Amino acid sequence: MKVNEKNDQLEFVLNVLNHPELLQDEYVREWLSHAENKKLYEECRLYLEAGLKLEVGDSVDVRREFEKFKRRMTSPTRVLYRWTAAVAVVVILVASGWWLMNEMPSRESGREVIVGMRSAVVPGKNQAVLVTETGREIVLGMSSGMRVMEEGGVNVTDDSTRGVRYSGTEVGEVRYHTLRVPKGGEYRIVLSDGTEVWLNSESELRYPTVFTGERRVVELKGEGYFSVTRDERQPFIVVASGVRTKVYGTEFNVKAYADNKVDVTLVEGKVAVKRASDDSEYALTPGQNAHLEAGAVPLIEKVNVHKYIAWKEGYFYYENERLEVIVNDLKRWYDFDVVYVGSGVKDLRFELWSGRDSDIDVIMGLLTKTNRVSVRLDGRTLIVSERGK
Amino acid sequence: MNKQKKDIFENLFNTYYKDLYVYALSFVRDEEEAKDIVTDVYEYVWKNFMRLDASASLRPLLYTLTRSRSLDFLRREKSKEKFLAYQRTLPEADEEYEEHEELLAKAMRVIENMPAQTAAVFRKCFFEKKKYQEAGDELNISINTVRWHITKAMSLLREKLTGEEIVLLHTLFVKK
Repeated sequence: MKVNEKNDQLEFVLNVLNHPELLQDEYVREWLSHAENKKLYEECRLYLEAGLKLEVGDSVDVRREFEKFKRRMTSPTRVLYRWTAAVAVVVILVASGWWLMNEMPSRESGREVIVGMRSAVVPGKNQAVLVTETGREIVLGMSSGMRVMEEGGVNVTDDSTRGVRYSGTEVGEVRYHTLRVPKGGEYRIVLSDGTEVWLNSESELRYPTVFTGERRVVELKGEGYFSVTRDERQPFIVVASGVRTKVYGTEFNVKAYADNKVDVTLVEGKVAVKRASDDSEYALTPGQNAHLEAGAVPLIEKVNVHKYIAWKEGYFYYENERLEVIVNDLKRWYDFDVVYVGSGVKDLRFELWSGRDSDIDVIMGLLTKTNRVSVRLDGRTLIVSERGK
Repeated sequence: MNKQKKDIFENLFNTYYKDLYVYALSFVRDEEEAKDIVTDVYEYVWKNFMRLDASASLRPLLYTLTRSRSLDFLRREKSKEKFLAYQRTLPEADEEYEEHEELLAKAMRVIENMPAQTAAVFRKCFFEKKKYQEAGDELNISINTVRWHITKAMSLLREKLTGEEIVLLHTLFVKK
């Protein structure tokens, strides 16, 4: 909060109302602790509410929301939405019996490993770089709701918690932008058609600033969760590692970190998945995952959707998963390198549930407690070794 | 759940959904979040419907839950730290919400009837999240004119809502 804003209390209040994440600021909290300030805040909020009520007017389709609500109350995926932000961490070693934990590994051995682990390795945060067609790079995640650029009639605004948003009604010249999320980052983007995409760490999305023509085509590297605005006349296509996922309006996740391996998980609606290398198209129904790997027959199966989209909800969640797969996700988020000691260690299987805002040492401590691996950090390198058998 | 209860619930949904949505939106300023919050509130009511006293008005509960969940959302948005400054003072009685709805209705009338330029400034600064400077640039007026219109808008609202003139004028707008 800039000092000169203090001079205008009303502008200050409006700014807080417009950017509620400011309520986290020490200064704002202090300011609100004074009764008369809070009163002014509440008063302005009431005016805002009245204005929003006029503004929103009849645009809210209550009947449709009620239908959605009924569907949600009967949908198998809804448990996910009830996960709270309270951080729960559970690790169970699956490899040699679920209840190995009952053997109660000594606390000391666990602590021994954790000692001295406080380090520079921290959870990721909202950060990304926007690259324009001309190669200009804009660092995002620094402002709250500010316009970062305007190009061909399209406005681009950025907000550190809500992400970057494209808007503009005039059909201007189409430019291609790339949103690049580094290791240790994630970011949300709202495209010009209202489609929302959550990009995971070490991922990239290339998209036009406006969608013209018959199709809405974007290219993905890494992992993204898509909530596509419905438009029957203009299908939305995600191209990732040679796999095209075509939709009209739906929610799904695409994971394509490797060049030759793609997972498409459908949460809601309908999608068609097609490889560049052949003509077959595979239709998915909600709850299904398509695993496409070069040289193999596509594997389409019913999966626990939570596992695939937990990241977007702020969790790490694995069931009976190989340690290497888990660590690969962790290292993208916490940004570290990894060294495995022992030949079989990567293939040990674990169950893990943890908040993405947990410190890495919490997860390390729990892995250690299973008594099957020892995990330690050396600078930015995670050393994972098999425990004596 | 029997048919009658279902009908009551559906009626609750239809009657309050929009109001609660706008209420949540005024806190979180994100449409998707606001919808999620209200859906969560209804989910809670649905699940506990049997235990809730159907004879009492559920309006205070709906508003209270919406408010506390909106604040919960804001609290965990960026950090786990709690913003204690914003103590939750939750009106419990139904009348308070009736009063709230009356105030809203009055404010809506004032906003609808504001002079055009004042309305334009009000809209930019309140809904479009513009800073004074940005609003001024977009409307081609000076920042002081923006300030004047906002003060005027507040004054109109206050007069109608509380019968109070805007007395804080001078302390609010200390010139730089």
